[in-house]
Amino acid sequence: MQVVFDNIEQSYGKHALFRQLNLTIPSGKLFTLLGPSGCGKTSLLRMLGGFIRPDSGRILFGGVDVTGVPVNRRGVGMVFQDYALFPDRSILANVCYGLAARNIPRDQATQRALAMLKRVGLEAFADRPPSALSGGQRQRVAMARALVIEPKLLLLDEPLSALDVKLRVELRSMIRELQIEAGITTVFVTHDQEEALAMSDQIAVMNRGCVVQLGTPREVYTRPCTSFVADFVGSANLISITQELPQANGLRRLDSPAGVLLTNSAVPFQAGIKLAVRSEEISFAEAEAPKDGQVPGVVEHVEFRGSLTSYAIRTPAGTIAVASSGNGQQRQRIRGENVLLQLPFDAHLVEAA
Amino acid sequence: MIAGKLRRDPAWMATAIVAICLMAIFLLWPLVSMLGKSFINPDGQWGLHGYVRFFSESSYREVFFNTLILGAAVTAGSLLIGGGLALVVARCKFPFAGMLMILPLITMVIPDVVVAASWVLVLGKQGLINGWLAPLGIELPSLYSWWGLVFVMTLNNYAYAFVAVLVGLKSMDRSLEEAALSLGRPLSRVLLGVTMPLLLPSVFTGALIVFTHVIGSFGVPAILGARTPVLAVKAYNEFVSEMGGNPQMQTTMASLLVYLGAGLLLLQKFVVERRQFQMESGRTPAAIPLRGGKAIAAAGSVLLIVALSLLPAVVVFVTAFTPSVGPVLQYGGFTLNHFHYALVRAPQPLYNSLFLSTIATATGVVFSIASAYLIVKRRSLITHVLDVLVTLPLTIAGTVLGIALINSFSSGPLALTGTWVIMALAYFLRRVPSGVRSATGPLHNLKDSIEEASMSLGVGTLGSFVRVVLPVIGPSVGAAAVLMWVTTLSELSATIVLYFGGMNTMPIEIFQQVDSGRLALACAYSVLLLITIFTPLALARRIFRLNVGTIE
Repeated sequence: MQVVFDNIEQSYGKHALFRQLNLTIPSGKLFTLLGPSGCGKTSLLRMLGGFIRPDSGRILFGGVDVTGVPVNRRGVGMVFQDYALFPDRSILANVCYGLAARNIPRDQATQRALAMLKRVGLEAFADRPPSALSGGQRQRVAMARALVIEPKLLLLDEPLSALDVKLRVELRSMIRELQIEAGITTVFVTHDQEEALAMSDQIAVMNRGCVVQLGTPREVYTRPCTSFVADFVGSANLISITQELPQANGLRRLDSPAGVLLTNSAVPFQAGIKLAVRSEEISFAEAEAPKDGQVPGVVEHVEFRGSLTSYAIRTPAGTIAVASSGNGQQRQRIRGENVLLQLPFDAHLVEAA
Repeated sequence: MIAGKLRRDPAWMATAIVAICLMAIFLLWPLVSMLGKSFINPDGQWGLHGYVRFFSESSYREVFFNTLILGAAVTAGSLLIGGGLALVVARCKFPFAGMLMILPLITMVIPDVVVAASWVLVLGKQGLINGWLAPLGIELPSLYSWWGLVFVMTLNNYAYAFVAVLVGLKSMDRSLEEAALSLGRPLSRVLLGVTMPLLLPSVFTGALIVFTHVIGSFGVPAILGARTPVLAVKAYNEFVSEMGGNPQMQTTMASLLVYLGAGLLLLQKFVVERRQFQMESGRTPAAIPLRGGKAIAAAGSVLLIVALSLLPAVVVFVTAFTPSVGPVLQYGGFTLNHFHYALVRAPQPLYNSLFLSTIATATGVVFSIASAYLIVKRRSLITHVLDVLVTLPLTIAGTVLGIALINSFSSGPLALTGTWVIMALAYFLRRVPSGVRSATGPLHNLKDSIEEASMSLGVGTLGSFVRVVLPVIGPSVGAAAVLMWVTTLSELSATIVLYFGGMNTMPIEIFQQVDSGRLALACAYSVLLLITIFTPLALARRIFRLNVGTIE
């Protein structure tokens, strides 16, 4: 079921959050709203749920206007950040709750609920109260409870943020598998870019009530359109460009405080434009003097992180983060060492936010 | 944003409007018209005549200052005893310390009149102690005096100070003291410089609760305070006096009590609560085990307080079985006559009390749950008004409420005076603040998402409330209902104004029997009242885990 936000306007007091927001969520896909807190992603999700009504504009479910339809008649499944399991009911009763509201006969409801609990690996816990389960298990119950009513639309409100790192990774693949199996249109809200990249078919990066960029995870990561996206998704190094110099060897040459940089980006030069460079694409060069595309610097801070080593390098263009894979090929640099950074040619030019 | 979160919720919106209308008609209007009447001079003109006369005639002025002095003295005594006990119990370990935890419940629900009656039996002119001392030619100072009043009322009220200070101490974070100690301060300076300031708001809260209670209380001053008239009693006397019943003086005194109560509530809301510190809920400071003499002293004082608090119950129990000839009690004998009278010959007060309390509690619980839900979960200007209205009865002494109700509902379309409805209404209004408060606590802890989850699963607003919210707040509301029931059973100060022939309640009966010197009969009724109070309370302790924290 395709979901459409049509000319949404919403303000809180004098502060306008959404101005003529339009957004289409494709049918059967996992669509992520990604952004910092206060960007409006949760408000959009709650509009889909029916908890907030926009000041003006329409919300369409499969072409049908549902703007005035109350929550309980929308047929959406929702998973909350704090699980929101009914504390006085057993796991099974929690999952049956929505089925009972739909007047499905008791034994049939129990059967479907048990099947769903089995799917999330918790059928053995059916008779326990929510308080007997761990956070990850509770969120799986919440998932089962939302999916068992076979909703047309599944809303996930930061479902993983209350969990620890290891569980988060485990649960996100389960959520994604369940979503693909059911082929259900899903809107996922998060501020965690890694989660967004890992799970989504499509990401809408939001800032201050606007969708800044819309695209697949790969597009958003490799071709950020503004410095905000570049910084928020994968925290790229942003190097200010002062002017464009004549091309050489098919590469554009750009002047920066750190010297001349090279890129094949097609984005035209304009004032305030920046070069976004991913830390893992920077390597150490073993030359005496910097050539074009190389930046000299001093190692300020070193962190060994197992699979990689991260460095903070002080350069004339500010501090640049470098992530060097720890495969043993590269010598570990030490604090205070003078180094030369080789920037990639395919780094992307981004507009100021 | 007048409607706020109610904008899309017609069902709750209607509930809010009904609740506000109820409070406006049955509380605000009587209160405002009573305050208004205090400004109408005998000649029918608006004026300050009543207040001028009140403060220029020494017999009235004295009443006002008596009230304040009594309030201050009892507050000081309660803080000393209650606060001290709380401090010792929270920070030290010693034998019998746990016994204190059940005390607040007991002292708060034993009716004033019963306590007053039992102390008359023990310390009165013809009392037990004077009986023992008489052969020695010694006589105790009269109980019907300042010291008797302060003594009995302190024993009646210290539990409020105890609970307030204890809650403050329990919410204290141990690491604050540890941090101060680690920075090189000696323990004594830490306690004075760090702990005391953090505790002060709780101490003030306790003091204000006690003070408000004392200036509004009727039973004890009416029985013991013949020589020290206070506002609540004087207003009542002015109300019942057939001859000199002056409506302006009556309403002036009632209004003065309202001003005092409102002033204290504002003080609490805007001065004390603002100073309340937000403390990280950490570990509470460890209790220090006491040994030797200190342990004996601590355990001894605890046992003494427990004994003094329980004494009334014991005394009335014994006396209820004691034969009496007129006012003279023959201790050592045994009779069931008094119970026979109270249960068989004149059981009406018991039925009346049970009937009124049940009605008031049933309506009170429904109203409190709905109001609390609106106040916590549907914030808007409307529910804010409701919040203020349901807090209002805290400022109104029972006698005052009675006078206000009877003035407003004696004629017109709502002529309730002389019916049981007005009595149940007074009980309902008096218990609404604590009822609402008991439901707001668990509602604050209930996450909005639980209700939203229910709605997203296909259940409507009211359905979600019934199926998801009610079960979660059920236990604390159940506990509150029991407390509401038992406290209305012992209501005296509003009842004394509102009751009419045939509608005697238990406290009224006890009060009248004490007044006419039939103490043994008063004790029999007291025992029955205590049984009807403590049975549900004991059950509630088991079922709802009712504890100190849920009271007031």
